[in-house]
Amino acid sequence: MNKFLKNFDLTLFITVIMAILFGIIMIYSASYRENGLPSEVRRQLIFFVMGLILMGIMIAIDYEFWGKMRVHLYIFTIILLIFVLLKGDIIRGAQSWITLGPLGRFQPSELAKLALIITLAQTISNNKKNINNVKALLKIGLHIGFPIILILIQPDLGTALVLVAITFTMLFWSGINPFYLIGLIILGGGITPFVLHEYQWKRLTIFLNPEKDPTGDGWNIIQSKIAIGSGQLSGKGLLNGTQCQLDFVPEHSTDFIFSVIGEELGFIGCILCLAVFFIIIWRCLSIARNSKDSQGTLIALGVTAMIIFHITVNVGMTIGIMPITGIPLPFISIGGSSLITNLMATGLLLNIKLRSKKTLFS
Amino acid sequence: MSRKEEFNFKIIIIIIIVIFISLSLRLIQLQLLTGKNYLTEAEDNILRRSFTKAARGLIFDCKGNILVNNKPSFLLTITPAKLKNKEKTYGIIEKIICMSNKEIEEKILYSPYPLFTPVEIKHDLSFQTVAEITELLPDLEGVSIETEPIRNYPMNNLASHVLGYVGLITEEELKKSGEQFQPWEIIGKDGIELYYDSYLRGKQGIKEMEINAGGKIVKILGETVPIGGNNLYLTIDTGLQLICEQALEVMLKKLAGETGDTKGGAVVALCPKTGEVLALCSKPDFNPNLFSTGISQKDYEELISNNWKPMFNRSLAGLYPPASTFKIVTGSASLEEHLASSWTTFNCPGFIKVEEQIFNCDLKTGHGQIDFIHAISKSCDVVFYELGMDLGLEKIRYYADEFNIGKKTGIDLPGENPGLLPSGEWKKKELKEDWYIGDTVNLSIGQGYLLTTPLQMAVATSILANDGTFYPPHIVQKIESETGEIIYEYKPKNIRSINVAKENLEAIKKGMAMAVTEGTASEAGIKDLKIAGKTGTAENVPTPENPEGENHTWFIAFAPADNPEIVISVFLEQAGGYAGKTAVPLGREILKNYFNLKNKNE
Repeated sequence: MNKFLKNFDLTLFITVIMAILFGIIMIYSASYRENGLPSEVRRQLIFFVMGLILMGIMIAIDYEFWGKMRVHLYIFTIILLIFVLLKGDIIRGAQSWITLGPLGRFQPSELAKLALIITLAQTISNNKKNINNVKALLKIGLHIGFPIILILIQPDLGTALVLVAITFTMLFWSGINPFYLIGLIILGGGITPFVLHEYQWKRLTIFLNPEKDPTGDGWNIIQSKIAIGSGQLSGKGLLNGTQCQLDFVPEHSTDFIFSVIGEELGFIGCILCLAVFFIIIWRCLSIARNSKDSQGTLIALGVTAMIIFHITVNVGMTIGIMPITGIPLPFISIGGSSLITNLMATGLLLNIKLRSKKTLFS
Repeated sequence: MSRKEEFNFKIIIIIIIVIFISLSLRLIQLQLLTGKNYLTEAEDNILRRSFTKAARGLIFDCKGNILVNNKPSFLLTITPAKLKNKEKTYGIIEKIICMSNKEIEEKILYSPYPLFTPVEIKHDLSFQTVAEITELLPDLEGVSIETEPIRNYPMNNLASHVLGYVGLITEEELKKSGEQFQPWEIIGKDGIELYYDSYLRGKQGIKEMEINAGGKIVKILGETVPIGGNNLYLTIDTGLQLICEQALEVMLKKLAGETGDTKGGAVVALCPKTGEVLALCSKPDFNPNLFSTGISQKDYEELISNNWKPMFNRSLAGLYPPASTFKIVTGSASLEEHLASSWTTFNCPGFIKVEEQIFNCDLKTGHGQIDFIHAISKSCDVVFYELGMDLGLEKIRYYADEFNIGKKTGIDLPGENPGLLPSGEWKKKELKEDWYIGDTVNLSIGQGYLLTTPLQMAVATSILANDGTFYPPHIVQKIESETGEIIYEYKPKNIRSINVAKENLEAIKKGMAMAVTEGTASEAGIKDLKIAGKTGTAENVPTPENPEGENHTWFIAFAPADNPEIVISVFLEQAGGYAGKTAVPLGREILKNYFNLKNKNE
């Protein structure tokens, strides 16, 4: 038991729980003036509990098991992604949702992220020695490229980009020639304006000058900046966020929850929130560093990349330095699929740490 | 991990740290460095202020007849944030209200309001326009028809220079006023509207509300009721004002002839015992109604392009040599200084010669032997040349000052010019020359450098008429609040007596009475009314504004001569000819109609 506790990353566990509870408080405040108040908080709590159970399962199962099951995982993911394209619900312009009757809706792409982290980690790990070999790169590229394209068709640009970030991080650590990555970024950046619709491109780049369309695409960013900026040092106080609660910042429970934090808790609240995230990331990196094999490291790095990308893009969007991409804030934004996925990822990481000393379950 | 992997790992750590630092720096910028601005913007977002315009005070004449009021009118507003389809909406309304897409867009751009407040697009809509727009309103999201009071002058041009006009406050006026005004307020721009603007303006009602992003009112934070402006009661007698303006117009048309230029003129009528201004007009004039909702380019061009400056109030801002009307000053001075008495006889050969310069009398053949009283009646220049030289510049200046010449009368209207009473220092400073004796000669008969306004000459005549007391002229007699409370009532102040004995003034008056019965003002004679008057014909050298060098003509008068009720000062700019045939008949017309009207009413 002691050995268990020694290798159980309590810090990670506690900070994740703290973040989720903090998120629930902020959701409560954000929806305070709305009629749907109890239901939003209630749903997040339900998903929290579900996520905890699933996290427990992930802690218990050896991550190597998932590695061995990677083919099954991969096929299952692809089937889900194709299914959602054929039969999924379109919500907010993206065909990303599957309804499970009374259980509500879930987003397969969220789960896909975790599944693909595992399968990709294994794939890269198998090709580590000749990672810069064209054949190896092609294998990896096809492996992750196919699901990315399926996700782009929905269209869910945000999730696709997360997968790209995860892939790049794993490849980078594995020793890929960095110029390949830079080249891909430039290529991707160059193609994007031609591949996207006019309105999509506009929505993507409006963050550079939101005043150009203050009542349309720029509205969210301008209002979010106002909300956060007006919080100044210590915020307007919990439940007192006028901008968010009076609907000036839309999506304030989901994508723009950080605006609520900024407005109601001020700079102090924001920095504390970032500090909590920093601790989580630090623990993820520590687990990656001390993993017993490269597969564990790769999975941990993948999860790290996923979380940090979400944080950067989501917070960056609310403060006007990142484009709007509909990516939620981990553990804090409302969203069952996201919460469950992140909790399962946490469980996976905790397992990696538990297995990092071979002496534990011999 | 291998060495390379260790290295790459470290790079990843560094990138993550950079990300956190960047986010924190940006938060510092937003929340700590510019947080205050955002707070203001946040409040701007959620605080909505709506203003209820207060009614501007009314203006009445001395009998309580309405001169200026407010009439309800319709205006079209657009709330930019509520516009669903900008292009379509503009397209529909631009034909109906005759404003181009671009003009509408401009109005919205220049509006100082935040996006959720209606912007005023077009005022004073006709019933037709209102009906047309109202029918289409369901398709016009963000467009709305509202009512507002606009300033109305029911008598159009009548007394326009007294009343003035109103308009939207300009940027410079906003800056100068400090924080007193809002950018969309209407303020007085000229005349009584300007001078008494702070009394006429009411206080807007303000409603402060908290709204959400949909524009829905969530909470009313505070509300104040609008307070209407105060009402003004003027000393102006509309009946007399009408008489003066019509008579002046008729004379100007007559002087213009078939094809000539209709020139300009002024009439001022005072009550000598109180200083009340009974009438004040200046022609050409304008219609203040044109300005109430913003004057159109076309109307503005018309006013500007008239060389005779319809917006210019000649009666108190126009500077002209008073000519022989000034003789009442020279005459009073001479008597008071014992340089002459009413039966002193002079000899007028038709001219005098001073230092090689010839100064002619208005009667070139000379009046021969003529006494003081007749000299006034016939307006003999030679007599007054001699009296003037005997008096000397300083004495003339002293008595002119006593008669309030060369300084403002203090009338409660904007734009009064003090005129010019020349002196040695003045001439040295402005013209770099010494004062010549010839200048005194000219000054004695009201020519040369001396310049007065028709109002000043009316005041000087008034001082004479009431035996030597200066009553400052005033136009507003009483101010009442919208609930009838008296805020201000005119109390005589700054009254002074001049240093001329009553008998001396009587002598001048005698001469003026004779002028009407047998002298230069004989055209003014009215049966059963004793009038006293003095003519003045100012000679001018040709100038760009007066290429023919036409004379100005004056006529100052009061009636009844022994117990004056009314003083008039009549002025015709570049009338040509002599006062006797121009300003005098005009004065007669005014006095005749005034006393007829008075008799009818009694």
